[in-house]
Amino acid sequence: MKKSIRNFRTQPAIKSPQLIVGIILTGLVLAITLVSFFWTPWDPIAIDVEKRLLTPSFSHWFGTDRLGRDLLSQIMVGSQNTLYVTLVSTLIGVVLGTSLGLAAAGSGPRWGGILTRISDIGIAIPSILIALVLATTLGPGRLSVIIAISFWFVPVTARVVVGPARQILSLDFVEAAMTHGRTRMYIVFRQVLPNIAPIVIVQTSMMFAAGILIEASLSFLGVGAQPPTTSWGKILMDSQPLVQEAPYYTLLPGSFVVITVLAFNLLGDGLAVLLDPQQSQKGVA
Amino acid sequence: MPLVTASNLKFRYSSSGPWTINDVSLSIDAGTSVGIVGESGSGKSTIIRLLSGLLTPQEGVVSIDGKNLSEWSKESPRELRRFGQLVFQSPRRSFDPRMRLGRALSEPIRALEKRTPNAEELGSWMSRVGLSPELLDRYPHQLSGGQLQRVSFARAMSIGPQVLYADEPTSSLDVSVQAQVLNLLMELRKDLGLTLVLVSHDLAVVGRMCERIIVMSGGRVVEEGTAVDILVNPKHEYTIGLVEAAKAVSLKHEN
Amino acid sequence: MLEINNLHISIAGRSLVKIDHLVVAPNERLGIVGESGSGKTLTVLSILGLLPTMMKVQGSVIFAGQELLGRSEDDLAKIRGRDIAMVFQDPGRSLNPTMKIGRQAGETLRLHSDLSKSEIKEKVLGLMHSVQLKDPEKLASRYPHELSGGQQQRVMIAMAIACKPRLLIADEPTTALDVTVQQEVLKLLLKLSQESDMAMVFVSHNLGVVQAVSERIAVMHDGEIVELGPTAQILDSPSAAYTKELIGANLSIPDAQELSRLSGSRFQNTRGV
Repeated sequence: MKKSIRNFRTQPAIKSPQLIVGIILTGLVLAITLVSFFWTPWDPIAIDVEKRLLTPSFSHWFGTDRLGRDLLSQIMVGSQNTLYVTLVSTLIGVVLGTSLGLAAAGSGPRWGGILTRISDIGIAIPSILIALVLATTLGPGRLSVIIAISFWFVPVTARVVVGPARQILSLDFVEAAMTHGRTRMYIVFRQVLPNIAPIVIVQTSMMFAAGILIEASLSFLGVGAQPPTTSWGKILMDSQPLVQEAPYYTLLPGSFVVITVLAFNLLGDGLAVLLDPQQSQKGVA
Repeated sequence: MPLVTASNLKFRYSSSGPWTINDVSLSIDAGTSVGIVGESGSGKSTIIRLLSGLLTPQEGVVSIDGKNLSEWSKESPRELRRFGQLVFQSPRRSFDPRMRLGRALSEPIRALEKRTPNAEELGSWMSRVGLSPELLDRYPHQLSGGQLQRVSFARAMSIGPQVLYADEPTSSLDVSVQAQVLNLLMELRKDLGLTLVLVSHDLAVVGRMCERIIVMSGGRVVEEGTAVDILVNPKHEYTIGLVEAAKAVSLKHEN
Repeated sequence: MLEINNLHISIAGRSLVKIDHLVVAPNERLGIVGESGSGKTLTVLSILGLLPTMMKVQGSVIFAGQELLGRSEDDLAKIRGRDIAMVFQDPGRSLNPTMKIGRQAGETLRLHSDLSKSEIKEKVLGLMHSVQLKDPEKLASRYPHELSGGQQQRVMIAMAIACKPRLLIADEPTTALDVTVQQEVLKLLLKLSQESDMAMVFVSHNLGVVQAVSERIAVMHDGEIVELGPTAQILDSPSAAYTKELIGANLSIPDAQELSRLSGSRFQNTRGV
């Protein structure tokens, strides 16, 4: 019987604290967003100037903003926009980016090199810049933000995918598949992709988290959501000049952003461990 | 009757580097077992990839059963794949870590015979190589190196190839397992009438398994002959040195 | 000179190595033989305190009258390279790819001695010469990847003997090398050990290699020493069952007699052409 340290696990993956906390937190955020479609404590667009800048209380859990609107309701509704934009951008980024990365890894040195150079250019240009350019040409709003964020996500994902994909392609089982008569396309999608899936998933959650921040920043700059649509970034933008007067106005939405970003990061970490068959299954002695 | 022949093969991996295979010609008769020995950099691993069609030579011709390999490739690529199968050095790296063994074992049949083998068929192959059919449900990392290599054999044999190219099949395995795996290979060869091309750096393995030995160094064939010719009466300076060194580092004991 | 008593290495409650008693005399060449998982590498790593931190080590390893287990990193650092040196399996991975050979080879001298830069340089060239490297001047200005496996391993050996250690531990030093190079490196190790006052512990899974260099052999299996004694005795008349198994599994190059026996039973094609 061989004793192998390699097969030793410290704890079953399904019980990992990251995964559990990640699931709970993301679930919470998603739940709050879903609920906001049907119900919010107060009407988010109801302006009541007399009630402006009230600190958190029993009737207004998060207080009110500078126009007297309930802050909690604002945040809840804002999450719709933020998550929507981030979700779409991330999906585009992951799908196109992974395809690009796989194509680069699977093609010969010439095409692979060309594709890599193209992604390098994409990575070098910051989303914010692109968003500002788009805002002036297409006008501000969700579409501009989505395009801007995707434009950056695609090459970033491609870059992350290329290395591991190339490595997998150099392994013997790929050669074995070729001797069995499998085509390159088949190998890339049925053998390489599943093997880099954990990487792609972690990347997705990381990008999602980053996307939330980027969206918030863009809205903060005024490029993203336009009134009456709101988003976290916009709320933060409004609260900025009032930081000293009403700190809760900044802290509460800010904390929401932080917690959401953390939630998706933890989820990604937990999933990566769960999905790797070598770690989630019991090794044999 | 030559089954696989190579004429004046030249091959290199990059378009302007050294030639990994530098004018190699050889021929392998049907039903024989041929060993290709050499040290690192001799080109022994590359040559079987050229012979089996995984790599295309820049110069020279590989013929299978009298017909040019490139013609086979164009006209009947599937027949070409069915003709010769490979077994690799590291059993762990030869299997997709995310695929259960049952699925991995059925890959050649799926790809080349366009059908899905049933559990019975897979199970019988497992028993053939001395493994329990229960293991079909497992993942590669759950089996030992020796067990995985047996599955490699089963996988390669499952479509009934005429030639088996084995690239250092036991080099990654523990010593106590090597002999068992080699015996299995010998049995399979006998039962299925296989032509075996065995690549190894280990003269002991090649000496026991092969009737003919081809010695390679620096991308060329240095000497070839029967096992006796090479191991007992080597003629070329390089072969003499190789055999002497191999004997010096191998176990000497009274039996 | 080196005495191991009641060595017990475990990880999370699982026992990996259990050695009651093992001694290495000064200037002796001891071989430790075993397959992967036998614990041979862990055993020698524990001598120098190089085990991963998640492993628990108990027992006693006494070198030149001093207990090594449990010593601080600083103390061990003084011993490593100077009194006890180690050579590993894959020289390609043990050498720093970004440092020139000449500079790396002088590392232990820089750490453990007060010699000046030029004195170290001279010594390094001398060392490279004694490990039979040709053109030491030229090689010293090259990078590791520009050298062959055999040359790299010789550099590792040169580094190891630089401070004239009293004990050299070699863990599978020839396994990654071609057989002709193996022969040369083994001859070199033998020569070095005979010419100096250095003891050697040679770890390998290859019985032939261990036989070529060791005076005494310890056979390890599943973390324990199953047999210990003079090389010739163990290999010619083994007593432990595992040792017999290991010897039996070792394939030797068949001689003329065996070859004719084998060819008689070898399969001839019946499929026809």
